[in-house]
Amino acid sequence: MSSKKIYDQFTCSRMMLPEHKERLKNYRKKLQQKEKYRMPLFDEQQWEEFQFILEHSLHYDAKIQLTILQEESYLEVQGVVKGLDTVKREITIATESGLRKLNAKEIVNIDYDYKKTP
Amino acid sequence: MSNIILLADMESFYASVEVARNPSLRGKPVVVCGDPKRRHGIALAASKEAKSYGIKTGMPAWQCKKLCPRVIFTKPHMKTYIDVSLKITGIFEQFTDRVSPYSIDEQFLDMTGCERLFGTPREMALRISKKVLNETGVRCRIGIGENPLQAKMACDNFAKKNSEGIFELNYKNYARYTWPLPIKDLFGVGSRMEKNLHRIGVFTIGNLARLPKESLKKRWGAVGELLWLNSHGIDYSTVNPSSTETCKGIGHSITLPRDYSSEREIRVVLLELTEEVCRRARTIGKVGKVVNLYCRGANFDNPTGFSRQKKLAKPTAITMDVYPVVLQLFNTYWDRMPIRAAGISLSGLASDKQIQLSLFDNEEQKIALSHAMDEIRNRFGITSLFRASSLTSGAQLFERANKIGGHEA
Repeated sequence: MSSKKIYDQFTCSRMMLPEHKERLKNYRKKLQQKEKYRMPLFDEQQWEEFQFILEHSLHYDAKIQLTILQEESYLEVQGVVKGLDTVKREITIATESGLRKLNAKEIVNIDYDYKKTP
Repeated sequence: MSNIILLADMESFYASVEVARNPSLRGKPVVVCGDPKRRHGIALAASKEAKSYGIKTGMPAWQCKKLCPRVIFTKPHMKTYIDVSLKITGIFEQFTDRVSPYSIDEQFLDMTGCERLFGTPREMALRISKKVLNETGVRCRIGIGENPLQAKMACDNFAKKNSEGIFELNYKNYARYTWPLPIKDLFGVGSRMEKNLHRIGVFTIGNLARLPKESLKKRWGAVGELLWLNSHGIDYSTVNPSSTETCKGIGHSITLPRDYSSEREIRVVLLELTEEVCRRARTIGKVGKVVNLYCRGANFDNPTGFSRQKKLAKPTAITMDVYPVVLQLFNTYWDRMPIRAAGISLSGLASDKQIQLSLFDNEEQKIALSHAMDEIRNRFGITSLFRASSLTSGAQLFERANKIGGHEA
């Protein structure tokens, strides 16, 4: 007999229904997924910086890049801000494929688009 | 700083869940019992009230009835029990991220370093059990220790027996509390080991602890060493939440609805068991090297039966490669006495990413066929595609479909 039992006697003697094991595995997986795609908390300075970049883009046509979190996936959007609606909390952005409205609550990151566009 | 390990055990788990589902059962002698007609008619769990009549887990239904004529039987709902067990795991995870279920009604928690948040181990245990009771209606008893073994010993031997449902063992008090206990109360000692130990004059845990470790090691190898360590409260295991447990074997067994004495009927069940074991091995991408067949005779008082294993010619998870070996074992060891239960397991698991090529066998085709069958069953249910023998008398496939652990889901 291996000495594994000495170091891990409870894993060895564990009694679990296969259905229980399966459900536990799925539950853990989901939890990890949730953790991975969790809305980050920003401090006030970060919000100010986001605000600054948005205004800058709105007034000077600076191209920016937004990252939004939608149902367990990150989405990147590049474009120029065309409107900011502080009541509806919506950002209107002109992308290559037309105007898009984004919900401010879903935003994870805002930055200038440093990629050189031909 | 010492570790704080908790083992929480749900009191009369199945029965408590049934009472929580149906509050009109509260305070009544409730017994969760399989279908009496199908011989699963034994008590799977009994409420506190039922236990006060002397009803114990494992008792046949008629005996429960005799002990307590107004006993209330309920059918098991296995899926609900798993739901509640997971819910409790979720509650524990609000206290610590190191939670490891040990069985459906026992879970280990590592609370090391949480003293500032939740107080002393006893205060933690009280807080946790209160929350579980409030949210699920299930009472849990908690053993506290400085390692999983101490927690388990504290729970099984003390917390389950005192009114508070909490007990704490540590290196300091371990000997004082556990050494007077009979040797069978030591974790890891089964009925066979108990007899062996009695033979060498060991009747209490203390007797064992006072023997030199080397002599036990010489006699029983790693098992002897482990028991000696357990008798001293020493345990090297940890609470491992992910426990990507290297699964050592896959087994499946069944208690038959009646005793089978016809060879043909037993073969049908063996094929169904082989199929299920192989299917499960394939799902996790494994092949097995060794197959074990176990059969238990029908006579309870004179237990007969066997458990034998055989190495396979090559690692496989293909039903029709394993089945002939199962039959070979069966033909060699069956004593022609009626059979009550049978089980098959596949061990020596290895990844199925590599296959051994053979000159004449078309391995790839057989694997592809197996996977195609699995896919159909996964999609349309286990009874959507089956072997014709499952339609003959004695077959259990349809009976067991949609059940969990052989009981009502």
